[in-house]
Amino acid sequence: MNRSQQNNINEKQRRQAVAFAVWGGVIIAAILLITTVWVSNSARKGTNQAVNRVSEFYLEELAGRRAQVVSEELKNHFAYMENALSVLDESDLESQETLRAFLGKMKKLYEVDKFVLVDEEGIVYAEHSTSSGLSRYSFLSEELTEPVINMSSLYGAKKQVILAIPVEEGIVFQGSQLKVCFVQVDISEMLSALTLQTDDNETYCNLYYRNGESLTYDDFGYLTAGKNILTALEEARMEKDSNYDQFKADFEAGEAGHISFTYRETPEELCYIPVKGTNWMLTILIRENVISNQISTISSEMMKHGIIQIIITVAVMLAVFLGLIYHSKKSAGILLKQEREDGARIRAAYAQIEREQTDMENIHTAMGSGRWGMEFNEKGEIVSCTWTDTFRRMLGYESEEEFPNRLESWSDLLHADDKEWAVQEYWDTVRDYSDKKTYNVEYRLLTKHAGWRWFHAAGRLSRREDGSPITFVGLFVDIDDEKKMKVRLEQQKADLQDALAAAQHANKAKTTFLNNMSHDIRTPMNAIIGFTSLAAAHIDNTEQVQDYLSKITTSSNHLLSLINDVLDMSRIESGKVKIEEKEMSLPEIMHDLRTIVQADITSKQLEFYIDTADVVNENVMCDSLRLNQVLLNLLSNAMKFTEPGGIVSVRIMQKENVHEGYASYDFQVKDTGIGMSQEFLEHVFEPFERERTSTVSGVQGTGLGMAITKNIVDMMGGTINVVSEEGKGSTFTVSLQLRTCSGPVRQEVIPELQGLRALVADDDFNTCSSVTKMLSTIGMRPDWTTSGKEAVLRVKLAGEQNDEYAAFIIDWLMPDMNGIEVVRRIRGIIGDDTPIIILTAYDWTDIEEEARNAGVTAFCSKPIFLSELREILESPYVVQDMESTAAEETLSFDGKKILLVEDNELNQEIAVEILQESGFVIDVADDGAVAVEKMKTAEAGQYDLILMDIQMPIMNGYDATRQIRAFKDQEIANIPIIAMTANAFDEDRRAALEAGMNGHIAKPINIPKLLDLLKEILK
Amino acid sequence: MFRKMLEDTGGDRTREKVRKQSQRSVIRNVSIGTALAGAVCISGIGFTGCGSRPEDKPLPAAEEWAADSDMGEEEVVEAVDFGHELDGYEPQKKEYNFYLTYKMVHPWWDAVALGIEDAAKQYEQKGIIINYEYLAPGGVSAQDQIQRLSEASGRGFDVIGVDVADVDIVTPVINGLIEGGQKVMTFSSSDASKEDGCARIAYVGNTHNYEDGASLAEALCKKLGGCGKVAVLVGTKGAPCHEDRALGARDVIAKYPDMEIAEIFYDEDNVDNAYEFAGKILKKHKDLAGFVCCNMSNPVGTARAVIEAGREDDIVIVGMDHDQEALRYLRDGIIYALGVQDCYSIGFDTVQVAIKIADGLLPGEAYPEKTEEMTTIIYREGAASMLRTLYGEID
Repeated sequence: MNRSQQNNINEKQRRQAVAFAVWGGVIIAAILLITTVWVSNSARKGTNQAVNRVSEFYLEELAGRRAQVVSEELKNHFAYMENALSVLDESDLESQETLRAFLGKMKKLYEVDKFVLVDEEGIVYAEHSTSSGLSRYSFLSEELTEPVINMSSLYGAKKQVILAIPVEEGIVFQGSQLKVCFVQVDISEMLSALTLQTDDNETYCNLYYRNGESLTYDDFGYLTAGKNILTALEEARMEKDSNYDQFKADFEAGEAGHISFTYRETPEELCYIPVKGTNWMLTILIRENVISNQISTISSEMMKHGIIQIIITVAVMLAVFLGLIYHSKKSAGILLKQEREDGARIRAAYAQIEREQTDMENIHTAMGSGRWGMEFNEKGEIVSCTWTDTFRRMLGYESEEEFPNRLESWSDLLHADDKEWAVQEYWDTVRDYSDKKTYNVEYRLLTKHAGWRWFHAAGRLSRREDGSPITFVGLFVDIDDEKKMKVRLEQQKADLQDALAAAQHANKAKTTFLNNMSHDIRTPMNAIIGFTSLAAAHIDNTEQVQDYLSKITTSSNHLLSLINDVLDMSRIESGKVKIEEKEMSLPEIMHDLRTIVQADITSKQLEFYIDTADVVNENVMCDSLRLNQVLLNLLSNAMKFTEPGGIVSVRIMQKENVHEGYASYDFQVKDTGIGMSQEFLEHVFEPFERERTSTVSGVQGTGLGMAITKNIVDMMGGTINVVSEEGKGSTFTVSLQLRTCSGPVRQEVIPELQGLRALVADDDFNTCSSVTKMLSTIGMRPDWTTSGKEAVLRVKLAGEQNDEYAAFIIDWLMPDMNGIEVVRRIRGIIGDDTPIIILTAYDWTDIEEEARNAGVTAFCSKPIFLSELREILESPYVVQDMESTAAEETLSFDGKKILLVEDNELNQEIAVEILQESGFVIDVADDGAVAVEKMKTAEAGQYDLILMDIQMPIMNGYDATRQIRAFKDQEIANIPIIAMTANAFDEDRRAALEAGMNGHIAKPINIPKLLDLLKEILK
Repeated sequence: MFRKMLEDTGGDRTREKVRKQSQRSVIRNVSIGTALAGAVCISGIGFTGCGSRPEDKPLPAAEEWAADSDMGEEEVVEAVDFGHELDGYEPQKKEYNFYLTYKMVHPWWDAVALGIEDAAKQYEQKGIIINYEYLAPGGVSAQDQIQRLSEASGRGFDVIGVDVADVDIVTPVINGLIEGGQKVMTFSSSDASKEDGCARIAYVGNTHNYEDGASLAEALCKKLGGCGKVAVLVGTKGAPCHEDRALGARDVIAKYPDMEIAEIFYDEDNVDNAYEFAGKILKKHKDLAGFVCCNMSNPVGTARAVIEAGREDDIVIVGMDHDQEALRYLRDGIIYALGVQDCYSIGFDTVQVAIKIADGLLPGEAYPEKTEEMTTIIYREGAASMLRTLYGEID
């Protein structure tokens, strides 16, 4: 068959196909057209009936929905009021303005005519008004107990719906209880949204009371605005199936219904339905001609649409036929071509896959990630397990013999902490038939050569249709280095965070410190400045001025101590403070300490205990100044934070088991004060920390005392600990190991006293215990009691037993009987021979005479040391006073001549006044150079002493001293020179001595100290 | 003069209003003229017919009463100007605070409140906020009023408005406030004028209480043919508006030689009191022919008592104000005539005048020293229309 014949055949086939398609389309179109016309005609008749019926349903439905909308609208308004009341708070009730603002907001928010609150007096509060409402709103005349709907026919025929709710008890505005909340809604506006009224007035909606009275003042069809519907429809002609009496009965009973009637020659349909929650009836009116016009329009439209639909259908069918023919021809050629192309693509894809597999293996090897795979049977059991060589090598194994292809080869090497969950995770993944779970874990495995290492394993399963596993393939990567790095980084991060927190804390503490310091410095400064002004104002009133000056002195001393603390801390932090060890006596330190705090203890009315325990080395090498500072700081704090009547105690205990040549001591300062919180205890030794600011606690301080103390203790190689509980008190313990500088106190027995009885009476058990031990050491047989009365009884008993006491150590203040009284009674029993020593932590000056008259042999200060006890008891019959000081050698300064070298005029004036008061004759030099000149020309004996300032404009005090010391006239050159300077540190003192001065006194001048020093030097 | 007398401060609209009002005044004057002429004629005839009227000649039927008035429905509707709009004055501030206190909590002043409220709304639409307090005691008390005024004076109100409870007691307090720099006006029912020694700045309200009382009495006398015994019920003793109306009524009745005032009672603005007193009077005076009621509660209580006594056909009641119940009695022929005051306009104009006072303007071009609001006497044929206008009530 040639090409021409073939073309003819094809052309013939094409024509047949086209003819078939065209005729087929025409026949189908004709059938469709005929059936559509028939259906439309028969439908037109039924539609009229159906639409009428449907329109009735529709009207009822429409009325029902409208009624529901009205009901919902009313309900919503009640809810609005509830909401508004729930957000009404104190701030809204502060004033009329705030309440009005609140009401205004609510009015706008809920889009009502009025949003109002009413108080018990009937005062109505609205957005812009406050008015009396009792006569205007009738429902306010009785107490409202539940929500009400009130139709208000307001003056002016403005029909308003008022919805009111009672306000709960307790909401009071300007002293009057708010009782009612109500909103005012324009009923016509509410209904306007419901009326489907067009220009042709097709439908109307209105609300009526059940008695037919209109709730609105709007027209309802031909019914005049506001007209009673029951009255109006009496005139209407009812259609069949509609009955006026039934309508009226329904209306009055609140039943839904529907009537057709002709009113003013217009056929109308009326549907009425009760509005839930009210005694209202919602009515919808539609004119019948509207419905019939609609039906006719709908039928014509249906017919027209049917014909257009048929034409379009036929046209589309034809187009589809032609399209199918063309497409079938074209697709045959395309399919052939596509098959060829697909073959080539598949081959290329296989080649690509092979290449990629090879590449992947190479990548795994290069990346150090070992692949593994498992195969499973339909029951989910492993049928094969493959560990690749890379995998094995990562664990240090070279062959399958060393690391067989089974799961246990891997699981046996898992770390004990990881094994259970890692294996569980493996099987959970395998058994997750939903295939949602991915295996992705990190665990430790024991490698052959490198111990435990971290690995990361991840894998996916291929599954059968039922979800059972087929293969499980995954990768295994050594992440040990990464893991360790991560741990290190986390540690570093934590460290950095700690450091940051510490820095922030320190910064905050410093800020707080500055704030506190500002306050703490200003407080005494205020007192100083204030009282100075007052003193100036009352200069003629000596008594008052003295009082002011006393207060100025107190404030000045406090200010000085603040400055000293701050400077001390600064010097400690800059490393300028050095510990200078010198031989010192612990008894001296402790007695000095007691003396210093004595006055404060008395003035604060505290109970004070001080004692020793097991102290056998009383002389040690130590920086006594610093030790004193430490103990004073602790004691000052204890006194500061303990209320009157509380107890403050100090105890020194020597511990055993230390290196030879050393002695270890615990200095314990205990109080029953306010204590510290556990949070603060962690920071108590940090600088600038105070649990409460002085403004809060009323206790002043820099927050540096404890930090200074801790630093000094650290410098002395010791430790400091604190135990504290809020409200119960604190105990600070300073532990120091000190070099002993002489042997222990003599421990041997005093032969004269050996075997004799001694009685210790002290209400402090610790004192009893320590003194008893000391007495045993020197060979006596001590008894002790904490009761004065019992002491007297024991003495009586001893007499009866013929085993009298040879010595008594009695506390002065015991709760049940005063020590003096105890002595008096004991003396009454034993006579005057036996020594009775009063032991006390207080100043006994005032009672000394009374005590001696009562029979006291000697006084001894607490704490008593073994050496002191021994000394007393070795000379028992010598009436002595351990603490009594020899009558002070009196030294008169009258006529003594001082050259005062001072550049500051005020300081000159102060010094001159002080010194002249004491009898000195003063000559003043304004500068070191002037002093040198004066001394050059001075005759021997012209000056007895020089008080030398250090910092002066032309020549400083050091240079002036050096020059004076260099004078040839030795009598003048050796004149005593005392530095009197504001350079108050140890190094300043040393520098003064090195320059050749004889002493150093710091400014501000402490007058007693200055006079003591002058006395010492001029002696 | 029953109609409101407004000075021309608001442009064309106000001028038109004044024109209409003057027309209505003419109608009213004609009516009064007719009444007076009638009264004179009747008094001439009355000497022969008066003695036999109550028993021998029944009163005209209710329907006939309607013919006594020449007032149309439109006039009745316009008796209260609910279409009131703001005049052209531009307030100087964006916000004002007023304190308004009146005699007692009572529906009459609720109608005034509506005018105040609508004026405030119209100003709000112009961006000007009117804050106000509109407060009164439960019963009339001059002492309470001066206490309220004293308290309000320290609260920074732009203007204080007062419906004077007692001229003698309240005037010194108003003067004290004025001296202290406070701006004070009077409004609604009772003024304290310069003649009373009061320094208040302006007054908005009824300025013709005497004439109102006189007109009602005139209508009554005319209805009774110039002879008969009548009772006068008044509201609160000392309240200027009530006393003035009573005085007006008494003066008119005194002109009729055959008219006699049997009793004068004060009901203290309480309907129950009015009912009780009217009942007593009816029992005491079997030949009583009518009541002149000078306040809002009087006609309501009186009508109830008359109905209870079954004498609605032979007792003529004239009274004041727009109480809904009273209007129904008017519609039903129990009450013969009511004088309806335009409370709405009183409230509305009070706000307008207060703003001008607050802005420092003195009476003159901007507003009159007395803004007079009208009173319209309505009869049975106007009752339904008035009920519809005021309360939306339709038969």
